[in-house]
Amino acid sequence: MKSNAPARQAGARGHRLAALLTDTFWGRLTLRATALAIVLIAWQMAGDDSVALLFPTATRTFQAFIELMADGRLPLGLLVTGQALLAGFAIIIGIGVPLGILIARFPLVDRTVSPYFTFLVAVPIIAIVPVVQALLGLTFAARVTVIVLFGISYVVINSAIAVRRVKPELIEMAASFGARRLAILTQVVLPAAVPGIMTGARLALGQALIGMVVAELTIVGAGVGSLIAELQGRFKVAAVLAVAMTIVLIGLCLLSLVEMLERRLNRWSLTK
Amino acid sequence: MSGLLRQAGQWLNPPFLISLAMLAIVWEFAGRSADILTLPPLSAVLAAFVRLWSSGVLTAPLLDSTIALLTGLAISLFVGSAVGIAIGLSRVADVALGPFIKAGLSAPMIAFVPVFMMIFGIGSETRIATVIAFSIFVVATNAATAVRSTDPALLEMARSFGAGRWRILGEIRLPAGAPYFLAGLRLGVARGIKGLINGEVLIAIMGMGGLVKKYGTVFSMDQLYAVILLIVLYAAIWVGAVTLLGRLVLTERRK
Amino acid sequence: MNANATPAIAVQDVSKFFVSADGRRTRALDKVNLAVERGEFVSIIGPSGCGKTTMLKMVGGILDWDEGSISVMGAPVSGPGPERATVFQSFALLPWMTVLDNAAFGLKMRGETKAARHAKARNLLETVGLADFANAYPGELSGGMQQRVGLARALAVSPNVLLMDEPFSAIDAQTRLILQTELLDVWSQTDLSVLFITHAMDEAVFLSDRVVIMGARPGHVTDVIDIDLPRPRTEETRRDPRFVELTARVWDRLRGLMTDERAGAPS
Ligand SMILES: Nc1ncnc2c1ncn2[C@@H]1O[C@H](COP(=O)(O)OP(=O)(O)OP(=O)(O)O)[C@@H](O)[C@H]1O
Ligand SMILES: [Mg+2]
Repeated sequence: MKSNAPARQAGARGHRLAALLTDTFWGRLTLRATALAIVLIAWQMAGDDSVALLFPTATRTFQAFIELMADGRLPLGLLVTGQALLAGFAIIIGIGVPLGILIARFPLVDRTVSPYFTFLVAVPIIAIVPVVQALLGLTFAARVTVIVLFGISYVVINSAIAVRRVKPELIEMAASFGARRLAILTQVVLPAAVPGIMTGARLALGQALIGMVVAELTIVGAGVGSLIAELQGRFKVAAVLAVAMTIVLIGLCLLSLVEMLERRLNRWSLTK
Repeated sequence: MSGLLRQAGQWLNPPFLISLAMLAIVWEFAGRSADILTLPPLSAVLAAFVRLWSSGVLTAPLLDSTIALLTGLAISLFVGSAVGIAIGLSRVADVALGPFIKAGLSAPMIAFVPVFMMIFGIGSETRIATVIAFSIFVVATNAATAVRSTDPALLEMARSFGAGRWRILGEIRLPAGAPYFLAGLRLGVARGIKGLINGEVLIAIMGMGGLVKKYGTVFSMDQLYAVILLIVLYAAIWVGAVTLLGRLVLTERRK
Repeated sequence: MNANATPAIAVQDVSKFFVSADGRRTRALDKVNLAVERGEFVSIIGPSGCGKTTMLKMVGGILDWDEGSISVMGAPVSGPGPERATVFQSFALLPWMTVLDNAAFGLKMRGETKAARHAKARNLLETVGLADFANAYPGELSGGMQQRVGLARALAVSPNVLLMDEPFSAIDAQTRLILQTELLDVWSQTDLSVLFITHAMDEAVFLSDRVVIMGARPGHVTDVIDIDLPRPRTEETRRDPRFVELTARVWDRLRGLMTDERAGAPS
């Protein structure tokens, strides 16, 4: 044991540095900033701006982003696309949550309807887009429908599971105090199911974002889809990459927002 | 096996089958009476499916798609597992790379497909890149969990026998994490297939997705629906096969 | 205690069947008779699965029975009612509500205004010694404190009959003794009738006027033991030779049922 003491000390020093980097706020920040810097530098070096249609450098992509923002086309496109996302997500929640509750409470509804949603989760929805397009045309409604198809099953399934997992003794307790069905639903079942429903909402948002991009690229409207198509036609790789990264970053922001909300609403479920 | 039976039970229950039959009947009659352009009757779709299948038109795209899928998945599994294991073993790697993995897991990576198309051209590389973008993060996440979730008592036991870091990884962490690796594989395949079809439809020329676009744009609806049916079956068979494989491996291990 | 009044709880020749998943009917309770007089404290003790919880749920009005009759305060039972309140083994607190809102839950279901129910709930939290925790969440409390909230919630609706299903079984042994004394304190200041289920013989003897012993397969009443220990009962009571003797008698009666249980013989 004594003989390897110096080696252990060196090891301990390495451990202490690692602990400093991983267990303190500033250490983590430094580590993450370094990682981001390395990624950006690698991107800059991997990029090649000499010929069109090559992977663009970080700086040129950022330039393209500034230009698109400055001439207002990207903000406008995002605004139009965002409307479809908003409408789609509202429908996903508005229909998905009640449907999930019905599935959890009525076995017949469960047996009849659930397989369709299991199916929607497993299947590449994009394959159905031509059908939506054939039925609804190149319309706002068609794009919203695609978004709903992408996301709704996640809310339905998670809401149903959440409602089913409500502890029966809580329902029994409410019944013993004379609560009627509606009171049990609103006072016990729904609040208890909120964490699960929020998880479903977050997953659905992730899928709805994919659906939004798919809708934009296939059922081209006035949103970012047409912007991408136009930039693609003019071989502006950096600009297309800038649009793509903007979508991804906005998507991540929205997802973090929902995740924060999820955590706020779930505080009680974490204490026990 | 009971899980398998339960899964079959979800599909083979009377209320669902009745509703499915009713949908099929409504579809058939709506297809016959209404505008044939957008909604061909079910029988026509099934006939088109049989016709396309036996004519061999589907074979080449199917093979083509499968090769692209397998290539992409292989890369995802290899690189994703390596990165995931590193993250699972090292706190530093976790803090540095974790946020990227988490972002990639939930971000709409499909937005990059137009970029892939411009850089790689409308060939296999684009599809493979899409498959990777869709599947690699879930593989990495599960690999990290697999390595991390080892029972501390087992680790202590191995250490007390003098096993080193790498022995512990090979003898304890990797085997103990097998269920998570399998989950990663299953989710990776499920997502990879979505990536493949997404890529193909957006590229609009290749494989099964190419057929969707081809029949969709000429409004050859019965053939379009037949191809959609093929894609659905294709995805279901892959996911089912990987799920089954996972179950078999786990029950074999338990014996 | 009014000897002429009808009993607080009267269970007469009650039988209950359960239909299992494969369609078989099994008899869970067989012609059970039980009475709890007004102001009386009665415990039920018996092997696991003998139907104690089933009984209590039927008296509480949240489970139907197949034969016989049950009445509470002279009126036949047909669902939950304001004269009964239940305390649950698992506490059954709503984790997203504060302690105060949990204690006020029963009153809320009765449609009382927020001010009225909070005032009453505060009072009862005071009674169970939790006045300082009104704004805490159940997850932040110990098991003993959580069950105090459960007791406050039940008492808040001013019931005549308190139904308690192993309320202290999930609580550590020391806290349990303290809660028993506290429960008797509260009970002695009211005219509550209590039906109390437990697996602990000392608990049954310490708390009760009578201990009802049940056997299993199917559930039935085998014995009723009068507990003639003086009240108020204190820590001294636990050292009383009579207490030890009565506890031993309960165990004697129970032990026969437990061997039945182990042999799996139908009785
Ligand atoms: N919903 C139900 N369906 C079928 N059988 C049931 C149901 N509820 C209870 N039983 C059965 O009825 C019998 C009595 O159950 P009960 O819960 O009343 O027993 P208990 O005396 O409270 O047991 P314990 O001491 O373990 O709490 C048991 O054999 C149980 O399996
Ligand atoms: Mg019980």
